[in-house]
Amino acid sequence: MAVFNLLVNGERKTVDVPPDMPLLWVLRDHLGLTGTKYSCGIAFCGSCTVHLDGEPVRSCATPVQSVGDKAILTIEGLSPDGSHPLQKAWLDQQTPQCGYCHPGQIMQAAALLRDNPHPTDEEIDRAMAGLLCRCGTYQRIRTAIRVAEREGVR
Amino acid sequence: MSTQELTRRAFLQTTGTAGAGLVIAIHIPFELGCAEEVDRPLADLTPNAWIRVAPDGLVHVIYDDHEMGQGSSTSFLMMVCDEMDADWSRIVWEPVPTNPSTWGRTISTGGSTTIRQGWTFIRKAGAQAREMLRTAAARRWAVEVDECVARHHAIINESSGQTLGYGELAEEAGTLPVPDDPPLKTHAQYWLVGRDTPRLDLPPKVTGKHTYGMDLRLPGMLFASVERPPAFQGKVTRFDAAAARAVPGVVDVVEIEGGVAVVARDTWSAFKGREALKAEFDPGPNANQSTETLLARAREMIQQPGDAEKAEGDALGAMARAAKTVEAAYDTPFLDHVPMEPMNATAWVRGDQVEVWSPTQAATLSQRTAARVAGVEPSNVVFHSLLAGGAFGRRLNADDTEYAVKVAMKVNGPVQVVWTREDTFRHGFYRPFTLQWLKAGLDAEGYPMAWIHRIYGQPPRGTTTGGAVDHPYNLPNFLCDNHLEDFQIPIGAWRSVGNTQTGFAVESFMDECAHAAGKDPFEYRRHLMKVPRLLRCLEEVAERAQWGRPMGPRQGQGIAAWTCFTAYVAMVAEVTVADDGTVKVDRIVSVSDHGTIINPEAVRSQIEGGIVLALTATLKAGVHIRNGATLETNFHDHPLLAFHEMPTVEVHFIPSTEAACGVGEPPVPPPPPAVCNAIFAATGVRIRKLPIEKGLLRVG
Repeated sequence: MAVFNLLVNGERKTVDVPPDMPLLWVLRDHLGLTGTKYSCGIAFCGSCTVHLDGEPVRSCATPVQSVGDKAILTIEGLSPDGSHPLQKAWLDQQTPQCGYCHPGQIMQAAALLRDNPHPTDEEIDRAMAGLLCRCGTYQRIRTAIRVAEREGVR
Repeated sequence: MSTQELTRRAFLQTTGTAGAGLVIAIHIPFELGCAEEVDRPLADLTPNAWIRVAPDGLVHVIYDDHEMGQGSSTSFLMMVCDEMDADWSRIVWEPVPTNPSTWGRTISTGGSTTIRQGWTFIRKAGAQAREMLRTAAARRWAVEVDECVARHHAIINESSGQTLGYGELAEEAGTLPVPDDPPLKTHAQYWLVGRDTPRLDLPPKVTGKHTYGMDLRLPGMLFASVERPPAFQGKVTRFDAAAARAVPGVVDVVEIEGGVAVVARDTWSAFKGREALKAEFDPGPNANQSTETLLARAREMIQQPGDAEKAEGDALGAMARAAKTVEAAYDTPFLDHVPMEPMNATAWVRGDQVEVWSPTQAATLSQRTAARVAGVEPSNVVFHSLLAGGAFGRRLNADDTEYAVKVAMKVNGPVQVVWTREDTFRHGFYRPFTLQWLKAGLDAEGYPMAWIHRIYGQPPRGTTTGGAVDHPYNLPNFLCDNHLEDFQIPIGAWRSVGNTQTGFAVESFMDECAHAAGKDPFEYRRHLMKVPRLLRCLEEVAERAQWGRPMGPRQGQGIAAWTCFTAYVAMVAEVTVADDGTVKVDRIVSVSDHGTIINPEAVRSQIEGGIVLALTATLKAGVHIRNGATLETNFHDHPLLAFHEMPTVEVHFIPSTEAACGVGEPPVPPPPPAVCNAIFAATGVRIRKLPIEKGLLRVG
């Protein structure tokens, strides 16, 4: 066990956990941030995607000891009230079905649009290819990204 | 006592809610569902759905279907709202009841039934409420009921212009007799039904605030992971509890029936503790069972006549007289549902009181399972149905609750039992494996004059052969026979159930017959189609997809049509087959008839989703058996169709004022045969085994 000081959604948090514990489980089970989802545990589905210093990472395969001082952003911190352009676009397009993978989908898309405000379809493909959705909402995700792109994402 | 007083009393007893205001009780029978009915006499019309107009004006809708992302909750409430002329923002969606044992029917959501049942029963209840509110207003104003019009959550006196809100009228309306036969709205009077309406379940799904089963957090809650033998009939023979206990965070290691549970203060520690167990197993009696052994047995059996499921005319005699015969066998694997939320449930056992939280589709079965495992009466189990992160039929089984209660009986306090993804794959209730052999005798014009469809698989029959005898064609001299052998692999209902495999076989074979007859596959089907509503879908999809348009090299179009769960769906797939055999589905055009569509946007989502689920089964993965266990364990060996592989999907509906039909399951059967028929058009190679082996399609 070891103590880690983490910067999560702009707040300092202290946890006492095994150093190899993936960030996913620190967030879900020790910090109560259950918006980040467990689905595969092997970085093959993307449901656990969060940002580390703005970079999308699979938190299920990110040991907490590797996080260091990097700022962690989860779906709960993306906007205070669900008003991020992607969250609005997601509702506008009625995108989720079961919704379980969508916090990860939204976090991945948020990083894409911030770095590349006007991606090509191929760039969207590359960014989103690693995020699985069993309900089959891919077509709506693409449209929602395009809707958010028009509003602009910072 | 008046009927309304009886209704109020039953409402209080069943829902535990203070029942002030106007209460309408509804009994929705279970007949359309797909799980077993509880042993209740058919004449028992105990209410199991309620509309309550509270004095504050809120309209509470209490019913028992689970929301799993299919969006049916919104559509169900839309029917109430429109029929009542209520304000959409004042309709309250109530959770699934926590007392299934005293509920008026089996609580179990499957078979694409929610909206079909709502269409029949909830609209009438909405109309009853509206009429009672009108009558109450007429009395208040001492005018004729005809002068009182329901509009936007109020009754308006047309002559005086006075209005009374629903909340103001609720108490008085609640004392009136419930009309037996209230007028239902015509389609022209609907202002909400048929309009795209934002789903009620979506806002918390984009902020991470939606509580799925695995997101439940209770004070003092522990987490557990259960090591089970990978083989279905296996046993744990040895494990190192001390090593597991030595893992930081592990609280306890407990043996339960069927496995060993590691209990920890968090999920990760439970997983780590489980690895440390280094459990050993006896694989049990089916240690040598594999997909290959099952297939070898199936190939042997399929050559012998089976038990007739349906026989019309003289298939064997007509076959002998046919101008030409065609035959083929289709091999479809087990399929896992793969909900993105792995299986899980939380349980808390306090003496003879049990409380369970599960993201289930089957609250009644879950509650009974919890009671059986804990050795208590079902009424001692409080069962909370949480919203599910995908289900597709997987959560019609109560094994999540079963294991949670087994562990909770040995733990102080609440415990959340979490399946790993690997557990979820390995301990599924799969779409059954089948081998299906079809033989047709064609007449001089090339149309079937004899048809034999033989299915090898596992009982129960409906799960394995469902749909085979309900095909939509005129097929004289028809025989469907089966060999059903229990090879003891857990199977269950997978979205669209038997239709997934029988639809693939019939619609692939229909294509083979068309080509054998030298006819266009669309025209061939059109000639044979006996179901007018499906024929219309077929004709419209051919037109919308520009059937027969010129395609590039190794590109092709394929068509398929199917009817199940009372709906009708036809699709055209367009594919490009790369030289290395990779199949890219470029476009799918869907035309379907679901009768009256309540929320078109939600139905479009379901069609898109059904297509994607079916494309994974076509192109990507299935479940295979080795050493009596499931071979696939995670997304590295069981990929799903990914974002960049998504075809353009175009969804169209046949406008209709017929009764609402099923939605969730009907779009699943057509894509696999449509894609394989397109592959044949593109390459001349006939695919008869799923998922597609791309080596068959490689050139050079």
